[in-house]
Amino acid sequence: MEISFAFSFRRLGWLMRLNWIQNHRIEMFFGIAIGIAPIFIASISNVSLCCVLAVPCLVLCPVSRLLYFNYGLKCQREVAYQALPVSVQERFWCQVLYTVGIGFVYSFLMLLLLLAWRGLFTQLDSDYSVFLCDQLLFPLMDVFTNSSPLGMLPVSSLHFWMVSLFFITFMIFVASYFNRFLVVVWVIWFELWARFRRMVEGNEDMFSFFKEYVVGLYIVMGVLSLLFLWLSYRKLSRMTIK
Amino acid sequence: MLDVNHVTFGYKRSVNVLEDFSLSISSGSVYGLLGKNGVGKSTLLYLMTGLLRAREGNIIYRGVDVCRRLPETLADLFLLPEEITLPNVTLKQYARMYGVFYPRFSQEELMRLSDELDIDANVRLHSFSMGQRKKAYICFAIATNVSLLLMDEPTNGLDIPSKSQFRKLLASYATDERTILISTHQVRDLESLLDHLIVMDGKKLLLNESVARITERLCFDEVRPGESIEQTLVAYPSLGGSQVVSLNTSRRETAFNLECFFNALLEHREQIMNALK
Repeated sequence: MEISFAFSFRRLGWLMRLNWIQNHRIEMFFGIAIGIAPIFIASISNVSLCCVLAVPCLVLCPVSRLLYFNYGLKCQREVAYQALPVSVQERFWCQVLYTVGIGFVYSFLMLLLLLAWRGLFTQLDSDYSVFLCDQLLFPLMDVFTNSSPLGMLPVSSLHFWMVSLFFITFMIFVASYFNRFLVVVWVIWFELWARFRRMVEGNEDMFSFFKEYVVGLYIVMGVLSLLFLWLSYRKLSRMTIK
Repeated sequence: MLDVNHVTFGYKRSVNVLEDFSLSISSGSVYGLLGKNGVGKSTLLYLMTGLLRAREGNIIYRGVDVCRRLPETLADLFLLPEEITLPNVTLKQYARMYGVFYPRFSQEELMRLSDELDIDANVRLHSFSMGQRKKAYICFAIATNVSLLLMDEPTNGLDIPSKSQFRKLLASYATDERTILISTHQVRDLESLLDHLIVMDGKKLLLNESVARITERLCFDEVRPGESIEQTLVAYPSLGGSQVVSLNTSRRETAFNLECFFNALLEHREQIMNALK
């Protein structure tokens, strides 16, 4: 099978514009409105931000909306879109940018929701601890800050890039295969991540094992990242004429 | 211009829709693609535009395998599918979004065509009826000015005046550099336009012949009860008598009756094929 590479940023731009107008504009508006509105309300009222956040998040982000959300691949099934003169690579990157982009927006929304949830209960009872909140927030902060993501490995730029690569390719993979269940998969992923981290931190042998074989860990992460990217490429560039 | 070489394709491994299918299309003609339901006409169009990948064989458009989906190749052909899903934007906006991908797309031509087909380019496409949407999409397809225009049942859903407008538009679109391939069951709508016929049957190509050649070899007559025609091959009863397909031994010029020819070809294959040899 002959593989052809053709890539033009201009065509990618057109494709993204088309996707934006056709599919994502309204979804992004929905997301941004949920994010912006509570901040605005909080700024003009005496109610705390957390309290205001909780209301729209709980009311406007019904579970059905967040769980059953089909974006990115929506217009891929249409013949008019499929037949557009763009290369498979351009199609793939357009989908990746949107799925990752929207994935980030919705991850952010989910964090807002959890923050609001925690804030609401903290106001009611300061000792109240909400399930999943710490497990979700701290590993995510680890990934996006230059700290040690697993809390056990030496901090280095290589480490940061490897974990980021692993995280982002995993995100693309999840977004391309399980985009309707993105939030659910995220919660499971962070929960598992947090459990793994605690398990390693509380186990001296495992801790030293990972420290000793850090290069091996990077190689595994690299291979998994490539695997995720390849699987995502297969999925996002696939033709699905019905 | 486009060569389909020994293509085998099936949606499932065990069932082939096309088997060792070969076909050659030259530029400057209007082709009619005919065949019974489920014979693989739409599939062939999808294969020709690189939307499906042949299991065996290849499809070469101007020296390039369409499977490679090179943007330069795809920008020179356009597929008008039978069922279209359009976004909720106006035709003008749609043209701005999709037209940029086609180097020869003309916004002015689109406006002219939409005027001719009575489509308001400033109204959102979702507020149109199914037929109006189809007309809007036909306007867009023609305005792309591609060299190969593939149409799958283009007249489905069009009203009577629009069908005649559509024929006029296509007639003006067809030039020596452009080819139009129309897959249709509405043979009456388009028979006057076609100058080539492709007939598919049972996973294979049954016929790829010019209309001129067919009418040179065969005559199509409407005869009254009691009348007869020499060298009759097939006769079908009609309201005023019968429609007759006969051998054209006296070099008569008769109007091509596509429906009659198609039925005759499928029912009396050997006789018709021998007559065309």
